[in-house]
Amino acid sequence: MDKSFFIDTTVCTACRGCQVACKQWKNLPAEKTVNRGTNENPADLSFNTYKVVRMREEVIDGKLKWLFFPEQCRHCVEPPCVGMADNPAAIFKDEATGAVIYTAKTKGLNAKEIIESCPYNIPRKGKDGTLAKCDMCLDRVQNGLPPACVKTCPTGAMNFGERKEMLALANERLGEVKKVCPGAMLLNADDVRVIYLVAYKPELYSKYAVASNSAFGITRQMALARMFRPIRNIPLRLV
Amino acid sequence: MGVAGGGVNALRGESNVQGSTDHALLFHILPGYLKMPSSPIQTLAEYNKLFTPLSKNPLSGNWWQNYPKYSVSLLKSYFGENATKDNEFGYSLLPKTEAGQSYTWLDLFDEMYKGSIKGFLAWGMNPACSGSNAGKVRKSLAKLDWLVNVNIFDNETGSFWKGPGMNPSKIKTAVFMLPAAVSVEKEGSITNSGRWMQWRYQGPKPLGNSKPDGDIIMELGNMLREAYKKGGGKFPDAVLKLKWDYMTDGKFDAHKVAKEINGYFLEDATVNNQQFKKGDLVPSFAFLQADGKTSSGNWIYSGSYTGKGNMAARRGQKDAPNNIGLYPEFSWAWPVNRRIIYNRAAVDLKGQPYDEKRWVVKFDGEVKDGKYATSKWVGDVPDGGWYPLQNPDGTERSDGKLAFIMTKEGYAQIFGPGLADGPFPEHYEPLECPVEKNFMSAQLVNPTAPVFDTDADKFASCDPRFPYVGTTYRVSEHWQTGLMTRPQAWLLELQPQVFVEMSEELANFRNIKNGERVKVTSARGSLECTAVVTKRFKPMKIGDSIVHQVGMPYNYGWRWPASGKEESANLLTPSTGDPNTRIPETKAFMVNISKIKRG
Repeated sequence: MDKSFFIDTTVCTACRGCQVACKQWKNLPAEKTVNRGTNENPADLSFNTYKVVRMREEVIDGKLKWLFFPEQCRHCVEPPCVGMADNPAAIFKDEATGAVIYTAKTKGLNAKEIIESCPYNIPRKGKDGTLAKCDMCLDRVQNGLPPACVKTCPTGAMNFGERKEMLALANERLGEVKKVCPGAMLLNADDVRVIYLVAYKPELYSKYAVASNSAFGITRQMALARMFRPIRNIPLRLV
Repeated sequence: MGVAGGGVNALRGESNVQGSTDHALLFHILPGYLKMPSSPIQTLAEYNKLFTPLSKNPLSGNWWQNYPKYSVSLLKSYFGENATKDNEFGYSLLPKTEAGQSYTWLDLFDEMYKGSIKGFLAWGMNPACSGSNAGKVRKSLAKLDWLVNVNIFDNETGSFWKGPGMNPSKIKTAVFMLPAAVSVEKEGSITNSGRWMQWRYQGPKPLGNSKPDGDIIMELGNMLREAYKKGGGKFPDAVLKLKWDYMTDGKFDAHKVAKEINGYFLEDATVNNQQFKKGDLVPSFAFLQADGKTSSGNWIYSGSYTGKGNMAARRGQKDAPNNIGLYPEFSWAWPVNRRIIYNRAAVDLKGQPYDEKRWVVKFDGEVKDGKYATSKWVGDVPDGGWYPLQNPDGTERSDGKLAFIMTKEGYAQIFGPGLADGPFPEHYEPLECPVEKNFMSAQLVNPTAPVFDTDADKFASCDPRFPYVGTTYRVSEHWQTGLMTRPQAWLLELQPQVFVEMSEELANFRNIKNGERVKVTSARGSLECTAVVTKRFKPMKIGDSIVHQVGMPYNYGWRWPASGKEESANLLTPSTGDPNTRIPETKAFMVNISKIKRG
């Protein structure tokens, strides 16, 4: 039941069906946007936007490439935000799927702390302090349906299934893509449940394509924050 | 060519382009690609003679030799019992075009602009945004006495009179809005590019007072007939003698129309050694007759709704023996459920596939003494079930036919006769262009391109006021003029504003910043756009000059978003186009781009 996404950016066309499907399934309101000189919109993730397709124009080896990167929560295998919150009523990992779930109780957390604990800069704070992000469409998954973004993807860029199968698919595609783009790689595949395949350097796609911390796991802020906490709150895995 | 997956695969801009073309949406044909009669052709005999090709080559299938069977069956379908041998099956009731006159979109709006067209039914269209030279289109609408706007939402066409630059108190056009049901609220069929006619049942019921198109047409027809019955109208027979019985319990009945399209036996008859009763549905167009004993609203769809039922509604999942994804029991393909036309072009003279692994059809008849003795094709429905042209021993047969049965000669054509220009493709500059001479030949622009001469048809080639090449396209987030997508908040979030894309070089040169609002102007109009400075556009070197190009999506209009500032890029585009189809030249025209001074 251990689930994962495989996102093959090499076949993504930035149609953004995934962005709309996400909002539709979650019934999230549209944001008032303007064209900022790019097709990318909204400008960033928000309390009402769990997914944004990044678009970058890069000249690589003298050739123009238009790089697309559907950015979303990675559902980390060992989620720092779960550890940081240390409150399973607010943030927990669904054992069956591995989905990282934020509840209405996130309202009582220190939002800044939680957001800074995320190596991918994903969670966003609402007006009342509640935190929100992608929940892997857990309601759909528990009923045997793929997440909305995967269901709608017309090109095969968005994939979802058993973690083992997704890792196998990711490695198979990596092998194929490497024949054409030797620098292709999977991003933090061992640490996350949303495995991206990129053809070029990940930092070209998005500022947070790969984990922002040199070592995956505890961040400086997190470590500092922990120092001022009662000892009993330290999660088991950090002991 | 000659293998499964080879050949031409037309990409359509809309789900039912194929179906609407088959059923003669365009002015130049009648349903099933029969010719539109023109005024000099006053009798059915002349009409049939003119369009029935004769071939003296016994190997040519020359399928159009059956033309009169299809034209007479169509007339029987149109006019029913009012179509008799004595009145040439109602041929005189058909409208006729003026010889040589084109009635395309560009021509219609030109006439409207000049004031000769007084009424206009805009049916599921938004010409105020989709029409090339949209400013001319909008002014044309203001010259009408009446406009009927059939659509699912109000749009820039129906509300043209209160649009930018319009003075409602000076506009006399009476506008009627008829709210239409959306596709999923209607029963009927669409035909995809593979010619698969697919039946669709009704999902949700239409909302409010909206109605399916079929009901709107039927009710409008009924009211017109009532009005003509009362007298006073010109040529009432063309309307009153129509067979007009496609309602059941006061509602449009899609099955009645589908059956009419398939065709009926109108009398007891024996055709091809089979007996039929009056009222039987014809099994295929091979049974249609030129003597008025059969009807068919569209001969190529004959076989789609037969005694076996509604073939388009079939959902069988079994593939054909060649396993190439034909799925012959899923929906129904015209003609005669053939999935790949001209499929005998994929076999050699002995009827054997050029590619054994990816075969479409093959001849599988019995062989005796090196000769085919019985006839049997397997795979797809063969495009003509005759014997192959040669026996297995290489001897010629006289009972075979060439593969291209819809051409008179039986052969494929590198270029077709009857086009306005050609025979070979030639490079011409667009009517509005950045260069003074064509670098490929002495002729600058296409001499057969349509040119209109009203004061709204301005052109500016090599004009320093309009130094850049403009082009238009679409974004995937908006559909056509955006009528169904601009009011959709999630889609507007993705593409909120009309933009103009340009190279970094041009932006630098004109001191334009990425994301700033600029004005784009052509000889015909202007609009405000957000500048998108991109590496995807590059200056081009043409001759000795550097030519810059800018591009805009045409999916916007002033009705929505609420700012009213996001306009159609077709305000810039020219009213000229391809000499044959008159598809407008919206891909290349000349513009200028300037910063907007505010405050």
